[in-house]
Amino acid sequence: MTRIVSHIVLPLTLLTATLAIALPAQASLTRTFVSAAGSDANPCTITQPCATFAHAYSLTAASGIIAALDPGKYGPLTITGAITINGNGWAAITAPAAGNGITINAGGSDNVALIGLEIDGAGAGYNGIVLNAAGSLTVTNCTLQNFVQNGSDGNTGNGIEMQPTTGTLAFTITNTTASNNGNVGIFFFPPSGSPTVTGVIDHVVADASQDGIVVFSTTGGSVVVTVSDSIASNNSQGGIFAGQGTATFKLSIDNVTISGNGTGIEARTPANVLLGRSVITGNATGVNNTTSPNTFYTYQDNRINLNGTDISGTALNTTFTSQ
Amino acid sequence: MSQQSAMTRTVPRIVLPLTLLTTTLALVLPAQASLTRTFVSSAGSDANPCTITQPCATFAHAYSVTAASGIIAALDPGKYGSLTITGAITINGNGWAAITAPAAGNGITITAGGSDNVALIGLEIDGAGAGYNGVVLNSAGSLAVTNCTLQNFAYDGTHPTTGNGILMQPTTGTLAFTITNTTASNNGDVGILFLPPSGSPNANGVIDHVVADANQGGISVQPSFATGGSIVVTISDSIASNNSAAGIFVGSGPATLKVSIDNVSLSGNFEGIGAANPANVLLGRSVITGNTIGVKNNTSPSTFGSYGDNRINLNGTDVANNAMNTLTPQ
Repeated sequence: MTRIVSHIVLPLTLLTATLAIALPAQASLTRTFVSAAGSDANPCTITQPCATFAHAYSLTAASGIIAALDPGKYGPLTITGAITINGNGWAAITAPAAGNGITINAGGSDNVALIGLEIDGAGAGYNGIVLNAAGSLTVTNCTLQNFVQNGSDGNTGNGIEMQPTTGTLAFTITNTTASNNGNVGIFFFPPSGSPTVTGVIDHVVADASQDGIVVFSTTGGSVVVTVSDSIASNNSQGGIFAGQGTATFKLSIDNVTISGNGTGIEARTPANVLLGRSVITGNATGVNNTTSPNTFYTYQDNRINLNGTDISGTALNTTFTSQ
Repeated sequence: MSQQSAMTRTVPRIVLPLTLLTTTLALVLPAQASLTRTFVSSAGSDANPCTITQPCATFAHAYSVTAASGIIAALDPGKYGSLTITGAITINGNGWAAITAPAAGNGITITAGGSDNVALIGLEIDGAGAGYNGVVLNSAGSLAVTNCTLQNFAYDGTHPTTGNGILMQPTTGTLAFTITNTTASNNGDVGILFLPPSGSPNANGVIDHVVADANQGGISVQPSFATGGSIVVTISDSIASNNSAAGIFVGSGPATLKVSIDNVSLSGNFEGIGAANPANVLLGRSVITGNTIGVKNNTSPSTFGSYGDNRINLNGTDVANNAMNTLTPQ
């Protein structure tokens, strides 16, 4: 219990000034902090937090964490490596007009996790999250809303847009809301190449956008996406839209509520769709199946009624049974 | 009687100025684990008594002054350091407390008594690509983990005791564990791993509303090295996806092993579910798709039962090796 505490008293301002001059910016901190009362002249520690995610990111080590100490707006950010941004449910990013909230250009094995963020376009920003490249993306407890589409440009107006062109991406989007976006709430939209993706969308609300959840493919690669325990409703076009391209393409929709859309689910070749335990009602068209050969499978326990047209196109494929 | 005499001797009735008295006490009295509820804050100091008005800075120091079965709560967001638990305790991070495990170390290590209850609530425990495990349980009576995130733990390439979100490795007694509303992702080995190294531990476990994704393995119940024991685990309303090995693996060893998997989604893994003797598996209402192998049933004779209401399609191979037994709901 004997403690020796040496007391060296320096003028605090002098000490701080000396350190600030002597030390270059180093991305060496495992965990950094931002606060509404912070300053980017600070070292982003808990006692001297920074003001913006972007500056904190520049000081955070690979695979480190940036955490928000209090409610506030912490600015847009470009991510180029493995990182966790933990907004603790109260951190906000307002995307600049015609810009994006978070842009991800990371390495093929970098894990990016975004937790507890409200990312808002305020009716002027283009996208909430744009992923160009990463090994994995986790989005949980986030809200993405009010992004605008620039004319008919599909790369604008999205809550989350994922557009890898190569490699393998695992994405997991849970407990997240994407609403009031001019284009798509959650959009997998590779522009070219042959990316391989495995995705999980669970406990998501994708509503009041042009489309709720859209999964496209490109000229190759493989797409496996599961949508579960979610809501895709009140979108002016599709609640869930799957198709396009030539990839190996598998989409599971389980226990999802889809209502008040132009079309509840629209599927085109090459999508293989597994639909079970879902409620599809009050849409102009419930399901529009144009896959050919018919790869839209139902487990025959969905409630598809009271739509303008319940099933349009080809009747659902009943080849698969539960086991 | 002798204790009372001792106390009487050591408490002289001397009136001192209060500041001097406080200083004297601080120097003289050892830390005592006498507080039922203690607090940490990012503005706290471990020179404080860990009260709500004078919170401490680290979980480890607060733990040293918290009574058995007491509670440590985080007053605000911050990082509160790694911790070793040796008795009954609740750590309530309130969703904003974080622990960064040291490189090649663990976030929380639990070596508690056989009847001690340990509860971990609302913590983000991160390996930052360098720490080995989020939570390591060596012994306890019960473990509750809820509203926690465990991610980015590094596998050393050799030892399955590294790279795990939660590693439970009791060797004796009976452990009850309950892991709910928790995410374990991006870990080099397993998200949630039950792997006793020896002995015959019993365990009753619940895993519910858990996301175990983008690990090597999602959830593994593996009494491979145990010499006996009885293990019952239920996994429900959860996701085990995008893992490079198995979403869920159960089996091996001589223990009695019963695992229920209900309303679980497994996709994008190498294997959705892998099962080997002695696992008895009950599978129902689950979606298994987009895996290289959907179900790999190596139990023989087959003790892998299905209620016939699972959706196992569009995997490279839907059911490999042995067929599942058909069970009837009643």
